[in-house]
Amino acid sequence: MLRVVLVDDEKLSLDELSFILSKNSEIEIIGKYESPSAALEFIKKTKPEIVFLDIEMPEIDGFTLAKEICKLDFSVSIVFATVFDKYAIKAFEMNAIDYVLKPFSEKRLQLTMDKINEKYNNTNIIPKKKIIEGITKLPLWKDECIYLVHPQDILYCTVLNKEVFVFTRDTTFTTHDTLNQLGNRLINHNFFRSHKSYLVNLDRIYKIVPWFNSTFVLQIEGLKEEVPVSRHYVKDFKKLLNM
Amino acid sequence: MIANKKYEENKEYKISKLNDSQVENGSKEIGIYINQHFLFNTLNSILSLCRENSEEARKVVLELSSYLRFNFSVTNEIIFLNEEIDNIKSYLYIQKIRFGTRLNIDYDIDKDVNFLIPKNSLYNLIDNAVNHGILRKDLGGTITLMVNRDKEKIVIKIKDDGIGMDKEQIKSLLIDNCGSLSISSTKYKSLYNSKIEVISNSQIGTCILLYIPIKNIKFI
Repeated sequence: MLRVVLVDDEKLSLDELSFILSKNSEIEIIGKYESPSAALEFIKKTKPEIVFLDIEMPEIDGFTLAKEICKLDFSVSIVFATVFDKYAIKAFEMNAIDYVLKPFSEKRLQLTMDKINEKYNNTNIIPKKKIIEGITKLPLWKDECIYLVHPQDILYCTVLNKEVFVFTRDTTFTTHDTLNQLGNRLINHNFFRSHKSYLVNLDRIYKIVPWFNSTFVLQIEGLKEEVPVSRHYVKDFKKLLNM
Repeated sequence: MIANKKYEENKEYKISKLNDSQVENGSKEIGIYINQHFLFNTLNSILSLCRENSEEARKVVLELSSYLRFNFSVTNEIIFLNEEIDNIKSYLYIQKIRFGTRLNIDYDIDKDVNFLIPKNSLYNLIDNAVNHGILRKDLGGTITLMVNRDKEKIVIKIKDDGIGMDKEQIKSLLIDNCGSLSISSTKYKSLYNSKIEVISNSQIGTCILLYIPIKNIKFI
């Protein structure tokens, strides 16, 4: 849910805007303000995602208020609303997400909502990613128990009979993730997909042995087993190691 | 008949005099600017009223029509005081709808006073008082328009309790060739040898007084 604050010195204009916007289920209008200074205080307190700002307000104009909002220590998307199209360039120079003309058209405001939704759906990925990065240890199975294993301790992973095995120096774990899912979870820990059935920790390779058809075989610290680099992944592998 | 002829001659003379000053100080452009802002915001208000209060929406459409008809008629740059006041009433009716409790309006107009004045000369002053005086105050205020006969002169008073001005601001507005105040002041002076007086106090408000000697008005 995106939280929205509306600022316009005319009550009827606020009513109209909130009537149109409230049809959109993804937003919640948390404040409607005729006074720009009162609106700024509210915005500081509630940290909304979006603010609709009228430009021509006699007390404090919309651009001045936008500058104040931009100074705050959290990011707010601004949509300017005005009767004039001549302010459009200035509005976009101030990084406004959109610029809508009065009288408000429902069709046009839908485009604004599309822009907003697009922006927030994309940026939503970032906090999710942060959560994954926050939990560095991986839950892995052994003897019907779950162990939390640090990615650094994993040497390589492989698929055998559709089951995914994860190897550390002295233990073999299994996981319910596919090799692809595991690869995504380990992407920030220097893991590399060297083969359709192998995922290898680059930091644990100690020897690269050239093999047939310009492929390689990798030897891992303290292990007898070797990890192949198939033809399909060779190019990426060389690029990664600047070979 | 004679009176009528004299009236027409006089009107023509006043019109030509007025058109000259119009060209000189480009007041038309100012009119158009205010007009657009007002027009689109009013249409936006009508959109909103259509849902909540359709009867009021109808009234606003009618007042806006009067306002537009008045402003679209470009033939007369000099008009009767009561035409000007009717237009101001339409304008302020709509402004009251837009700004609600932040704008209060008070009229005190002698009905039997009527004479020719430059079109929009009072409207522009009222518009300034509303937008630059009253609406800049958080809680708004009251605009007062008074037209009274006082012995040998007509007194037109436009008063607001808005943010007011200091002496420097008044001075610069009176000498600014493009501002409504100096334009109106010049026009009334050249037409009727009127005096203008501006009293203003910061945070208390502004009062503009026009003193028009009755002996200079040939056709009351």
